[in-house]
Amino acid sequence: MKNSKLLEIKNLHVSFTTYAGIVRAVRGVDLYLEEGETLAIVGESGCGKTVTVKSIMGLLPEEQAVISGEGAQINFHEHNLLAFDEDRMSAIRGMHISMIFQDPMTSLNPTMKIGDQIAESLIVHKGASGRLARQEALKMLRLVNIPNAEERIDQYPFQFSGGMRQRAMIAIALACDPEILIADEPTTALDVTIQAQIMELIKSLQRERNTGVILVTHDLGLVASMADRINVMYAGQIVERGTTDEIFYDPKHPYTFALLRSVPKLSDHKQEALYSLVGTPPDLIKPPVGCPFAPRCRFAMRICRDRPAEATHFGPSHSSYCWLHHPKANTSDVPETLLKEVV
Amino acid sequence: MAKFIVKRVFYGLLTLFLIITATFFLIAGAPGDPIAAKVEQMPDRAQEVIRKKYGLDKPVVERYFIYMKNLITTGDFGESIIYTGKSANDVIKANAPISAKIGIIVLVLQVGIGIPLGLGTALGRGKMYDHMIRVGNVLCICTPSFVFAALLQYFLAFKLKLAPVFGWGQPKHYILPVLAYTIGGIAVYNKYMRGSTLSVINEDYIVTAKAKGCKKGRIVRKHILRNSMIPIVTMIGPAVAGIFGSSFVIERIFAIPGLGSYYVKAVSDNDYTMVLGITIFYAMLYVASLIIVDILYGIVDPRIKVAGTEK
Repeated sequence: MKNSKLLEIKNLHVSFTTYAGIVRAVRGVDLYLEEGETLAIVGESGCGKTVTVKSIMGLLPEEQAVISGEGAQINFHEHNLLAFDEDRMSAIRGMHISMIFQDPMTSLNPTMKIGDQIAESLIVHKGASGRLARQEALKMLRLVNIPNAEERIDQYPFQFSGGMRQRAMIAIALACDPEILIADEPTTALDVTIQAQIMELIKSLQRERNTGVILVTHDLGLVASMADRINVMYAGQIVERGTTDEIFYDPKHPYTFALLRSVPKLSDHKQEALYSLVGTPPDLIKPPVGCPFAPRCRFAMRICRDRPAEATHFGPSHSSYCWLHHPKANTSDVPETLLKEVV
Repeated sequence: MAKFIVKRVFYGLLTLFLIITATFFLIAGAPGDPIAAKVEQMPDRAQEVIRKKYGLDKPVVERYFIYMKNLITTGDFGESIIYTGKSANDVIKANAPISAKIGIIVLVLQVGIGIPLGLGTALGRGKMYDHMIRVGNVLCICTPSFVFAALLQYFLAFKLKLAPVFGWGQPKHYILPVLAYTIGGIAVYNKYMRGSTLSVINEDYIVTAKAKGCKKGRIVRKHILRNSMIPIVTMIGPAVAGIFGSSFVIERIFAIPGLGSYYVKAVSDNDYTMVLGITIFYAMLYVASLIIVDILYGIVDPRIKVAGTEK
């Protein structure tokens, strides 16, 4: 049933007013999510992933964040969320769109019982009575595989381990059975073994409930097993989008290519140092005029620094913003993988 | 919980014992003599009789044991050396309630106004009223209460004749001392509550609450308030002990016969029994209030309660 666009973001720009100047954190992002699918937003720290998803929820700090862009829209079921006031937004949050956060150690209220924290969204959105909400909370705790749920429901976050807290966070997020779950680096703060369990849990609950998931991460390993589609972000823009297979086996943008090469492979027995991408992302107070990746790109041409690249489409789902794909580009020293469909 | 309280009370008693012992020897070792001025003109025989009456003829250590024995068996602080015939217990009984009446009103006002003000300024941080209240706050914290007392006496009492300049006995006599004493405290509670609320507002769990769909009012009530009150509870405990007379300055200025002024006078008079008696009284209040704070802390912050009972 993947035919309706549940969520669609058009030309989203977000900037922050800081003492140093205006930081243009997100610069023209377009993306969409269909019912029940998983979209991964991948990129290194500070590329605007979190800001993008937080603007969907209206969770950016009002004093500093400005959402702009000509015709900028965040459409949820054809309603533009950017036009919603705080009251209407809070009716959406937790009910239709939920979010889990990076650090489960700090994301739960330390002085409130876990059960009450789960029950809260049911009370807020469905007007559930205390007893009913508690029963639902218990059900949710069992659903996220918390052992001894009857006992755990009356405990406080400090009595939970990191992995259990993240499970509790998932229970909170899914309590009202939302259509979209945004997971912002949900496993970054957890042990590797726990990471796999948490991702497995999200995946199985998603399948059960047909929830659309937006997974924000810098961990490509996580994405491979989880995502249907991937959007690669760099310096506040999406530089490449495609299905998971397309991104992993046929990357078109040098940045995607570099990201993939910097993932260690178990099958790789060569005694080579792991590839690492040199340099840092550009300062978004003064964003570059051309392709933001040009200063770090091994294949950069003169035009890359002067003008932003247009999208090149490689198929119905696969597109990339890179000058190398322009017919006139000199591609003599570019690896075949980037240009042709080679595994 | 019971074990926790028993342990706390035990430590409290130990603290009291140490305070009494230290005070006893310190004041005994202080230069001067409580009866020297009184008996100067008397013949030696008479001096000896008076010294014997107060037990001052015995060595300090022996006096200490006699004092402790009396204190533990009868709860008697002993007869005042300066106010003949009055025991320190009588002085406390007569004057502590007067200090307490003012102190309780002051504390209620300070907490009742300071905390909501702190919460309000934190929620409206950066707005005009926040800046204005902050400036006022600094002024109020930096100005000693006796300066407020003088200003209030001049403007409210002398110029506007809204309240008596000083005195005691009628409800209107409360107005100036309470005002003078309250202002600084409001500023202190306001300042701490603002800071503590601001740090809570920036916590991740507040974003979680918002992401859940909680509206602002609910976030404040359910998520911010309890967490930002935790550091404030620590402040309120000692303040409760303070209501019985931490403000001898105010009592002096407004001629209020509270315990504070007796205490200060007893020290300058070298009135051993009075100093000890009032010190013990304050120390008991202080220790008790700290125990109450510990218990309150457990109620406000679940992490402490459970850690205390699980042992």
